[in-house]
Amino acid sequence: MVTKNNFLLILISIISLISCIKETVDPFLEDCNGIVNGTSLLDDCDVCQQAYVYNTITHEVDFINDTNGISIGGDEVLVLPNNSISPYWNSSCSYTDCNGIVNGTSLMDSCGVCQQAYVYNTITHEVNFINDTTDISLDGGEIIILPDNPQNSYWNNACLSISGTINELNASDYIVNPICGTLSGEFIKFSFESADTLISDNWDIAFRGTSIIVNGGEASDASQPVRTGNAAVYIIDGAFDDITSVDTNLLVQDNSDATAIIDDFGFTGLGWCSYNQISHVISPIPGKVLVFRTHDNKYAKIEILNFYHSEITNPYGGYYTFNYVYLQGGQLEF
Amino acid sequence: MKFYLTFFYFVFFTFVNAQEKKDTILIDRDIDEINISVAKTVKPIKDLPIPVLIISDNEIQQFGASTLEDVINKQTGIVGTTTKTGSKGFQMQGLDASYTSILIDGFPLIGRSFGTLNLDRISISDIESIEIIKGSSSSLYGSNALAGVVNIISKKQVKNGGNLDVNFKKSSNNTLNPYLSYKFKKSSFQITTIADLYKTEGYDLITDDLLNTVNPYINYTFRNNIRYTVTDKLLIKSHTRYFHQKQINTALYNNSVLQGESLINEHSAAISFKYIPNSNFFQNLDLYTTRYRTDEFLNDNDDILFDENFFDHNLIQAELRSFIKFKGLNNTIGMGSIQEELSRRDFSSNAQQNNLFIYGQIESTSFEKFQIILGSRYDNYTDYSPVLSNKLALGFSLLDNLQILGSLGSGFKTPDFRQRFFDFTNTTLGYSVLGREVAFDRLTSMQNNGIIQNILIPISELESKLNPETSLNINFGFKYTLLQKILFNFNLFKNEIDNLIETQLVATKTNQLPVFSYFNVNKVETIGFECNFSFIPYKKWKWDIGYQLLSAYDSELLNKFDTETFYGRDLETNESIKLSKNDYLGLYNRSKHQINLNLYYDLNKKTRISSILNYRSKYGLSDSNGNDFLDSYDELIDGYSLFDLYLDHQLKKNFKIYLGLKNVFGYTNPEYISSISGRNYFIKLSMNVKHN
Repeated sequence: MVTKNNFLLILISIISLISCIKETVDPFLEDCNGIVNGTSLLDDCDVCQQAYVYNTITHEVDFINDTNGISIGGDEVLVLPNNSISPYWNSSCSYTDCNGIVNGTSLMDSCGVCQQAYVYNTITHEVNFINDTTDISLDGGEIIILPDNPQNSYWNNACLSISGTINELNASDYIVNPICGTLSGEFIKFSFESADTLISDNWDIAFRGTSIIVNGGEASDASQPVRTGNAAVYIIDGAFDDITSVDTNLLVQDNSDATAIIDDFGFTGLGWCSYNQISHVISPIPGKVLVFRTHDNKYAKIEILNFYHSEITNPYGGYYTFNYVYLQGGQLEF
Repeated sequence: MKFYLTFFYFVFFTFVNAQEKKDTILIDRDIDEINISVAKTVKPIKDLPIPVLIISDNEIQQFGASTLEDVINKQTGIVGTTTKTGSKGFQMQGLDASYTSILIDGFPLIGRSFGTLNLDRISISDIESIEIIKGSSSSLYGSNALAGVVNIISKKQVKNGGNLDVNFKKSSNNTLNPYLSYKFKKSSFQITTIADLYKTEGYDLITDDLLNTVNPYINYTFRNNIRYTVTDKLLIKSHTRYFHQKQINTALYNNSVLQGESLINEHSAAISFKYIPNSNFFQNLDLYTTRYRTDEFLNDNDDILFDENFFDHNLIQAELRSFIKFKGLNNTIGMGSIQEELSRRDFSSNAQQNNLFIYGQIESTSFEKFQIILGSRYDNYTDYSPVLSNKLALGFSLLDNLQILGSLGSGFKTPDFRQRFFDFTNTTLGYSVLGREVAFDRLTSMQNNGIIQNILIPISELESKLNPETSLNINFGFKYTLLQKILFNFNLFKNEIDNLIETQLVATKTNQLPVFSYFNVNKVETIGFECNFSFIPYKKWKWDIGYQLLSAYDSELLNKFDTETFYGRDLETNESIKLSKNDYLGLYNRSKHQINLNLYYDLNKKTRISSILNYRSKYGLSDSNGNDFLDSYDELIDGYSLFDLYLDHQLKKNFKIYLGLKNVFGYTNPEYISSISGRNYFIKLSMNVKHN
């Protein structure tokens, strides 16, 4: 009887063995997900991708193990894993960065500018932009700065061009002395960074009547505030939007003889304003853009729109309304 | 016909009038009393191939005009303008008021403080008629007659006997205007004496400020003319005139009112000798002197003198004119000398100008259908190269009632004294304006004193003298009459002025303020046409319609638009925007359209009603957006209409009453037009007593 049992065991073993052999010998019956006759396939990156049913109306995706017994509705299509329309196929193979570099390290900043990583030499301050960090060998003193590193000054730089309008900045406190022709009154300091007037030394430009001075150079008159910064200015012809960059060669600072912007009450036509001898009105000359370097070496441009207050009827004006663009990042392009 | 003559006193009808009088004109040797004296010709106006306008006494009285401006503004093609200093003038053919010469009885008025004359000086009651030549008349009148000539003819007595006129006029703003004249003629002796008083309280268009728009003033005018026929070949005439104006003068300084007075004194005297050996020849010698002086001052609150100013202009003129009639040609030859002197505050020295001139004019009388006038004048100034001005005018009678006219003339204007001798530094702000003849020396001394920062032009440019402004004027048109019921005339004109004198920046001072001087820089053009239509639809009606189209621009600026970019300012956002050539609106104070519509109706033989409508289209008074020219983004003054209603009634034979309502719509523009005072009424009584 033992023999009979042994025979059965052997038979089962053989059958099992045969069935085992059969399994390895015929792999097409089972797909990469272990589904017999399944339709999943391995993509180029060894990821097993299932076929799916895609509803063209609802955009619903139903992954399926195989196509047997699947009924396709009128709005549905069957998408096999390696169909070119399948977004999953090879989707994990590589990463293309915002510069179009596969597996690059560039990143899009919140201003929509694609920022590269770079190698920064802490000794020479040299900057070398790189596409990705593989195969980069660093010399002594060099470090890699990734785009979104807080130390990266380029990151979100473009959004640091701030534009706005200042309404009726009050610089109307000025008096002309009829005896000696001198002016008195307080200069109103303005900072582009705060987009407001201020009393500290961190001002960029200051207004008094028709006079505009910059916080750079020297005072030409004792009534002017002391210069503490590196501001400078030039006036250029053009529509505001047409002035797209700063020409640093044109920048002039105030000096002990004269202010950089001519302080002429609008008489010469060489400054920002023009005095109408018939109507006695001071108007900003159209097509004049004032380009500034700020006290801390940033840049800005302004277009003065009006010199009078909309409600206070002051024949002498002194209320500045102007549009400005401030390049907080220190860049030269507006 | 008599009715016709008294009824139709308007421009075109004056042509007809002239025709009626034609024979007397040619026979009367005393030709300068005929209403064509302005053209220095003996031809009836009808035949003059140049645009001439005559405004009769009748028309002036009926308009109830208070000022000369009131009368002339009613004429198509002439626009009364107020300059920045408040003085008024006439713009003709789109040319500035400073280009029109104004004469009283043929003698020039002087005293152009800012290029224009104070026209308040002319008593309206004392005007017999006004003759206006449009277009350059420098070939007869020399400098300042670039745009034309306005000759104001004083009243005189033509018939034997005496004539006393008493007028009294009262109008709005507490204005009183009594006028007294006595005219007498006895055979060879003729005298006219008048006294005119004009007193007004002025008016205030902006009541919430501290100043009046026009301060109260009082004018006195006295005139005396004597004419004496010594023999039948020698005639002597004298002309004396005195005008005095006293006006309250105010100004605002640091929110307090400064008060003072401003005075004008004008004296004129002329004597003329006329020698008439025969009907084909006469000679006329005029000696004329005039002085115009203004004095003004302002005191502060403590009655301490704050500011004073004066202007003192003298002129002496001698002119000998001969008329020779020879073989179908009327020849006029004249020569003379003019000496002028001006002293004024802010002048470096007493400014003088001497001028010798000679002119000739030939008119052909031998052709029935052709009219030809050829004139030429040579002016020799001590300070400039000589100027030759020419004029050619042709007329052709195509049909009996259709005459074609054309004229071509050159003109000039010498630089005025201010442009030559001004030496002004603003005490408050410290900028300077230097006349061209003092600029070089003053600038050099400023430079030596270390108050000049930058000289912006080659300084040697200031060593040369200014040139006179020169012009070319073209007129072409026609006159058409139909059954003496319709009169139509049309004139196309073009003026080009070259070497226009303007201030330009010369240097900046160390206080960063400018030094200006005067330069011959610009070139302006005016082009347009004028047409007038007179129509008598029914016996008691008369309609006059006039229209002028005008375009006036700085032609150099216009050309610059091709190479340079100019900017204006958007009215909504105030942002700068690029301008195109089409955005340039031309010269200041020019309206593109001007329309006059005058209706007259005879209620009965004693009463007449007139209505007068004047319209001028929008214009710009000055640049409002800082680019120094007028563009479509500037603030413009909207077009406006002035409508007047008049009634005159013969109460008795010697007694007439005039009633008027001026500016019926009550149009005012307090901000920009100070000369229009709103709705105004007047009543005028006129009495005339004659004796033998």
